Amino acid sequence: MKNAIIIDDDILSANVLSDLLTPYSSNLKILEIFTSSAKALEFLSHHQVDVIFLDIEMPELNGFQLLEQLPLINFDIIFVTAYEQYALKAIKFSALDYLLKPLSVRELDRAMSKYFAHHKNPAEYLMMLESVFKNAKYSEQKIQKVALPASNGLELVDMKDIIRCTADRNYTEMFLSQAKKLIISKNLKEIEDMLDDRIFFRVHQSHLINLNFVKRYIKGEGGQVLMNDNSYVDVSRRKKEEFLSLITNRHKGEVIF
Amino acid sequence: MEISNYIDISFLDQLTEGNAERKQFYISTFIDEAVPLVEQVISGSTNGQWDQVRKAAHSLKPQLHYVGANQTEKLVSVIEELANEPLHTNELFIKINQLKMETEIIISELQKELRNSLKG
Repeated sequence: MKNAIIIDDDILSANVLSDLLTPYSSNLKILEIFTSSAKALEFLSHHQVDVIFLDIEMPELNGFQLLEQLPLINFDIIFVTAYEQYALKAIKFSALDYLLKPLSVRELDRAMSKYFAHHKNPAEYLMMLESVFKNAKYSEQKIQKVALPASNGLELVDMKDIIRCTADRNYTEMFLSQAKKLIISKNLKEIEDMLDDRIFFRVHQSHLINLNFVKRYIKGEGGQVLMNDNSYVDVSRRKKEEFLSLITNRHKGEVIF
Repeated sequence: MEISNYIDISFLDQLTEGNAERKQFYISTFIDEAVPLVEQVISGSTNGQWDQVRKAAHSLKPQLHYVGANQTEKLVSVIEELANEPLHTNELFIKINQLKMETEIIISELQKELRNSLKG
């Protein structure tokens, strides 16, 4: 029998998780539910547990900060996170266990089957955790400005101001908010590699767009995207499906066709 | 039984497996938690505190999901997304007003559920 605790500032989600775990009660006992990460930290410094279900975004100490406060991590962790959170990518990349919010039976079964199926080597586990800390910090603090070689030297551009980029042989035309335009002496592939792939998407061999600036998608063979600066950008036939799936997931059915 | 367009508590029914006390706990907790979160969304938008709007909207999403308020959950996702890059504040204000109205209906319907469950 494994002893577990749940740490989540959202009392509803914490209780839903506890109830959803009932079918696993022959293998897993929930000792406590904590909605305060500080109280959970205090508990962990005096009690031994086998596994913690740990929410990441919490007001006092977030999940990673809580773990960093502990002198020793001698328990398993199942991270609980929303799919769009920065940390999910880091967790997946580090092959750690996670549960996606909102919680459901299906999601829990997926995570628990994985958890019970793999015995973790303690040394490897610590390495995985170290990796997730680094990746999450990198994602959270990811440099927002990029240095781009323009005609008169280096131009520091805030990523959130870039609306779209268009290939022009070995150069790239970059269209920014407030109707600014830059010619960058790098090709579009190089620019694509520098930018945050959660925000920027290559809709066409010649076009890279910031998904936050998409106003509308217009149907067609590949179709076109109307951007917030009122420009129209072609979507290639090959990229259409991936683009539509991306944009629909981001806006959950709010896209106007 | 009246069918609501705003909530669907079948998830809670399955989760609590007929335990009326547990179901009442979830409904009461939702009401207690959702009201201040919606207030945070409204006050944040009034004061231009878009990060507060985004965080409160983010916290509301799973809670709305558990009471089957799927349309409102989608609305909150859009508010969260727009508050992250508040370029179109007019659109945000319209959506936040809509959220206020929908939450009032959801809470009133959940209160009805709660009363029925207490009677039952």
